[in-house]
Amino acid sequence: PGSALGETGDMARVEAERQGPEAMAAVLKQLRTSRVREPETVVRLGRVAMGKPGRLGDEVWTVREQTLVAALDVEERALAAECEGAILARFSEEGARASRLKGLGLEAAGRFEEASKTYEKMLEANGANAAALKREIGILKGRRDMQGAVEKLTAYVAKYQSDRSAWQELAETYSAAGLFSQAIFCYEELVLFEPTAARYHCRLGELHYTESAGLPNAKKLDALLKARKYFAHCLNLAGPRDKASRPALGLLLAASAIGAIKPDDELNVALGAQAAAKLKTLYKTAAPNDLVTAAVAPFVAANTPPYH
Amino acid sequence: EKACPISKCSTRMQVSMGDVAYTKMMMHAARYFYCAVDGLCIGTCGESEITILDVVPLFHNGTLAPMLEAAAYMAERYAKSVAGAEGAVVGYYFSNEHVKDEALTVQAATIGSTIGDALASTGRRACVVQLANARLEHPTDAGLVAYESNGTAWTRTDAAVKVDPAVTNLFLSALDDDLPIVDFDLHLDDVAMDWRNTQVKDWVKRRLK
Repeated sequence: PGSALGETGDMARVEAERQGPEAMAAVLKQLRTSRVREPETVVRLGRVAMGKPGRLGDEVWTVREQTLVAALDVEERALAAECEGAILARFSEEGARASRLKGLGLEAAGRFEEASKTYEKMLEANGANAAALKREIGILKGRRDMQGAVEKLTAYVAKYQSDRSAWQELAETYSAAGLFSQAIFCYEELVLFEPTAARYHCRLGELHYTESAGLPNAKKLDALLKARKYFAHCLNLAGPRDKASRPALGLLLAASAIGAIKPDDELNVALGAQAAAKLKTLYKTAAPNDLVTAAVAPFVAANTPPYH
Repeated sequence: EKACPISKCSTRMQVSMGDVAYTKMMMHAARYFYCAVDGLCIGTCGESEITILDVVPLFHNGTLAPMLEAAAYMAERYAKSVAGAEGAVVGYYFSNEHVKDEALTVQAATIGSTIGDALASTGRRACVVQLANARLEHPTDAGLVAYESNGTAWTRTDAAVKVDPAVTNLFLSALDDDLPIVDFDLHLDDVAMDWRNTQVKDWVKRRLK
């Protein structure tokens, strides 16, 4: 499926285009709630739906806002300006939500000074305006001031400790810069908020494993053991119908790497074998046969215990 | 004597990228235009030229060791099915998140060097290919920069990456046709999704007939 909405999504979009504004609004709503980034689809549907405001009622404003952001994403400047104009005409520029949209438009045009002033004004009116604070971080990223962005993000999460997306943004920024221990710290915070979120455990496994490569032998084993623990826990949290291979692959590799250091560790051998079995079942039932034979099976075999 | 050993090699490298490889890579970058993306280059190496016949799109959610290792192992196997016994993972491609960011990432250098080390035993070299985002403004510009290593550092190649000008915009038609592109990240979420992307090869073949 090419669309992030999946095959059903593509069909939903085509069907909605056929049925009219209400159906389009429903698809747009689905895109909003799933928080998937599909600006081309939004622009396509939003453009038409906005043209029939009577059929949408108050939802037309949410649709205009959503279409504005999507239009900025795909450089449909005329459409973006049209949406912005309509929104600002109806909602005062003094309002936080409209202000933020105005600021976004300025950012997209690279007019960072003016955008910055817009957000400053928002913060003068309300110092705790999280949206404005986040946009300031956005500006720093837009200007490629990664140091500044990290500093501001750190200050933000200190203030808004339960903002998960901010913690994750900070974590991934650190990770991309190769600062794995800092990224790990952020994901540990996230695990505290959501102990049963499998993806955080998996990411921690990946980060510890990645970190292990650059460590001296004594610390390497420690990091690998942590990685193994997180991958195993992630597998425990995953449901039986989960088609994700990430934690199983991670566990296999972690056990294999530990096996290179401690080949006779029984627990490690058991975990490695478990990961291999899980992968075999998963790939056998779901993946194309020739892919499995040609690529996956040899990989699993190369990392399955015994580790001698 | 087939290829010169790395330490003595002074010839400048020429990288060329085939239609299917370029189209897949561009589809990947376009699909995740708001992310940093990367992938592995599959093909063959000569004395001073590298022919990229195919790519395995890798990640758009950040690149970390375990999944990269798994992908690299499997891609090496896949390379044999693409280019026969001579087929190998011959390089790494990447595109930065920010439109104006033209830096060679530490990651790209590290991964490139790892690939290079694996090739060195058979006297071959690796390349790193960067999709320079800002250049995409020009519809006829393939937008690629290649890097080569002397063993310690990566530098831009003198020669531009060879791409058939007739195919530089094929990927746009492919996306318009709702042709999917699967990277390793997507595959890891659902193993039914195939990172070999045969649908792209078939589409390009039909299109160019």
